[in-house]
Amino acid sequence: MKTVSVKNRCKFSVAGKPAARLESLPAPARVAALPNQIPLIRPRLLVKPNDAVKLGTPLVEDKGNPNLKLLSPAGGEVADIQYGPRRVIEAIVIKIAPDEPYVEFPMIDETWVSGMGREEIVDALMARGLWPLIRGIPFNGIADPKETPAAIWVPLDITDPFHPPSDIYLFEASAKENLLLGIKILEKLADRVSICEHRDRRLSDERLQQVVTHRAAGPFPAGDPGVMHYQTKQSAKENRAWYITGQDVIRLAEGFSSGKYPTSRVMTVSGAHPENNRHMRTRLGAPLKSLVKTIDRPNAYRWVTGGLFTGYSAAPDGFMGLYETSLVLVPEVTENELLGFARPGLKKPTSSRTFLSALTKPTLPVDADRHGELRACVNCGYCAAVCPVEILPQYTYKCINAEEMEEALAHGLLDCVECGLCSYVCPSKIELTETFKDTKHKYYWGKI
Amino acid sequence: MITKYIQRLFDARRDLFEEGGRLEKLGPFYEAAEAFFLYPVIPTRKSPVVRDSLDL
Repeated sequence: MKTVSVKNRCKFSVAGKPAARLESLPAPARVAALPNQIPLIRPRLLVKPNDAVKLGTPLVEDKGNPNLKLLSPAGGEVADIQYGPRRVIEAIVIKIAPDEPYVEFPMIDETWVSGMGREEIVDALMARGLWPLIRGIPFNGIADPKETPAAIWVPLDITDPFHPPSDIYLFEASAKENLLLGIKILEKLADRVSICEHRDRRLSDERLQQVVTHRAAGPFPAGDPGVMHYQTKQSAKENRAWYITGQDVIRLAEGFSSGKYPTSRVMTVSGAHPENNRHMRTRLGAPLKSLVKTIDRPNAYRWVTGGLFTGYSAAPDGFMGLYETSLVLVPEVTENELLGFARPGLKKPTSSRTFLSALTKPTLPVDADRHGELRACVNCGYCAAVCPVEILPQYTYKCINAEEMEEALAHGLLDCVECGLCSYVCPSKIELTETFKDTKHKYYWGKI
Repeated sequence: MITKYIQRLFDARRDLFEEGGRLEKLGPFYEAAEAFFLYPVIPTRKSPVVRDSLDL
């Protein structure tokens, strides 16, 4: 087994860890699909308000590839279709019916999978709405089935703080069985399937240990599939790869063996509201408010779904998306800090050595304050010191601003894994990650 | 409490130092003094929502 550690590291310890127990939540009354949160697709709506839908009915299809469909995460009625700016489809809300009708797919067991070819597996995944769970490196969009990837990465643990760890979502015996079946399905799609565990969370199950090929070591973003692929690839031929998270591999297998679109997910709530911090089994597309027990002033917190560093802000009335398994409640700051420049900073989280907290290294709560105004880049090199794929973010950013795309690519723009650490540490508060993400998307669509 | 009091103090004189005010030319000094006493809160708008406390 190969151990991969990241040379550049960012030191931080964030308070608000969830309790190490798994609760089962009652089924919510409504769930939603969020097409706008799936990168690099052009969704075409296939339903309208008040339409009756089954669990597994197609809700949207990709205009570029109509075989690629997002299926309904519940059976019932389309209660609402929410549009965002410029009429992007933000959410398709489904009111769940008591009997919850579902689309029945032919059941496929392990023996069937062994006899299936690559094309048959692709067709089965597309028909069951499971293909979108497989994503591509370097653009993080849905994988292109016509492509032959160098590898399929399966990170069992996401090291962005507070995602459900493998020992929680693999606790049940059926989850372990499904993971093994899911790996067999993936082995039909690529020559190499790399299963990656984290050094701090080694699997105890012997059968699972036998399938693990890589071990990640170190803090976030060690274990990220983009980082693992960057650290292990041998040549430019291996630039493209696919990845799918451990939980989604379980869903692939569930979709094959049960004949139903799988909706069960383990999610995590963490952050500034300790009584809500726990792991829970709930449904795909669950409302954010259904995940928290009590919250007095919902607008006093930033509701971050998808991870502290890689996630996005959602409204308290929002829903969990297809890929999100983590909700972090980060307090909003409304009052200016008295003599903020003069304080020694014993309680200020930082990866630098500017504040006294660098000596004591405490676990500190974080907030949604930017901690400073936007300023020009001063080439301090903080971003380069934490970049896990060793690009020089400050120069890449300047190349993009100067519209020197070839220079930006030469600096390694496409290796960027969008971990968010460069934006986090930047003392000039430059939105580096968003700039890189936007530029990668423009490059993908051929706009630059 | 003290923060709110100081904020009110600065707000009461703000118009003198803004564009068209009698002490417009001293505006930058006023802003520097305000930032020293009251370190401004600027919410994050883009990902990641949390940022390092280090400011230039």
